[in-house]
Amino acid sequence: MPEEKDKIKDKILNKIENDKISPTPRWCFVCKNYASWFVVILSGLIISLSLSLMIFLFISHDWDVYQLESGYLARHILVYTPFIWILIFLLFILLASFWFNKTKEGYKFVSFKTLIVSVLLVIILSSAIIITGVSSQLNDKFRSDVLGYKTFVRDKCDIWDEPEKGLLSGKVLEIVSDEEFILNDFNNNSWQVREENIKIIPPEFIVEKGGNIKMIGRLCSSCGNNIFIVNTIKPW
Amino acid sequence: MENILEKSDPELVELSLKNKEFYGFLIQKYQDKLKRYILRISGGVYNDADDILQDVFIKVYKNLNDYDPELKFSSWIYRITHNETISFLRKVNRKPTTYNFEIDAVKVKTIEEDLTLDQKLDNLKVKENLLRIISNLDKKYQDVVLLRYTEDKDYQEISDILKKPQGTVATLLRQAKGQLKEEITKNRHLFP
Repeated sequence: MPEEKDKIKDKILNKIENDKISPTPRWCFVCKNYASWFVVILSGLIISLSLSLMIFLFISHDWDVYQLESGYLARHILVYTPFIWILIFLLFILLASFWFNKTKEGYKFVSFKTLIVSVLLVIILSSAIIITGVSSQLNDKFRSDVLGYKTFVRDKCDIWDEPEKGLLSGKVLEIVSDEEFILNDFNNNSWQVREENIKIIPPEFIVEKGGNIKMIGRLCSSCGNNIFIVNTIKPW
Repeated sequence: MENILEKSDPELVELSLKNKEFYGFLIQKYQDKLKRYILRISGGVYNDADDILQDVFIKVYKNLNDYDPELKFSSWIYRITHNETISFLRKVNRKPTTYNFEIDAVKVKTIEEDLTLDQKLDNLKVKENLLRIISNLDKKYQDVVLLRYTEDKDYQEISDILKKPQGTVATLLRQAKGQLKEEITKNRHLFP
């Protein structure tokens, strides 16, 4: 039996010798472990970011105008749910948990407590991203710079960009008179806006040059091009 | 070289990194235990066990710098063995439905203590019945049961080998013990 043991030992040592096998340097393992933690942390950030964008899109949405926009709440929810962010959120949860298990120490921390702490961290970070306005800026940036983003993520701008359905928004360019002003919509089209039985919500809100507003009214095709008759104005 | 047998595993790892001849001592120390473990978790792949064992030791040698002395070396080498065996079985598409528990390897004393049984499980017939019950346990319990009752590993070691949190190991073992105790109580006539 001892001979048999030596035989196996010699066979392995010979293979190591003949195949010139050597131990992988320590730094490779250190880097690999750091890389795994890096992916976990990066995933955590992306999870927080996507959650903040989902919350931002949800709370900034004007859910009450669905009747003017489509008439069906279920359809409205379906059209305006940011599926791409939900998908990214779920995908990175999977990625984070996969790489967390790949770290050297991760398995020791898998517990309900760790889950609660991670969820709290994500919620705190997401709230910070929303409060500081980063989510709003990012959404705007994605809308202007990322090709196809608008197709997948429809937001408040899209609801208020349907003049034929009586919904229009943009920046006030110039106050022409008590009942008329010029507005540039978010697609950079210029509109002549005329007030008719106007209701301003809240009443103390003042329409000023440079301010962003959203309006309910109707197109006046017979009056000319890009003329909008407004009956309700709200701050953006 | 004269007091090499007194060296601890982490010391032997350090020495092996400087001179591969020292690695031979680690091979000699673990080859029997690991081969038995391979045979147990593979359901007895007698022809391939030596090849798997060789792959294990080569992999361990390549990864010596990854060994963390905070961990028991035996836990680390068992983990590699476990993973290599599972990936071998996956490669050859042979997944055992049950592990290979040998009658002499089962640590009856540990079972008696863990289950706080009022009867002794020390005669051969009783051991055979016990083995049958263990083999019929749900697959999800067999990893922990095998490590606890044949390899004699504690919770910390099982956690490090399977890379599962200690809480999960404790839960799995508690449920497995519950099943074991229930079966033993139900078949009291088989455990006089």
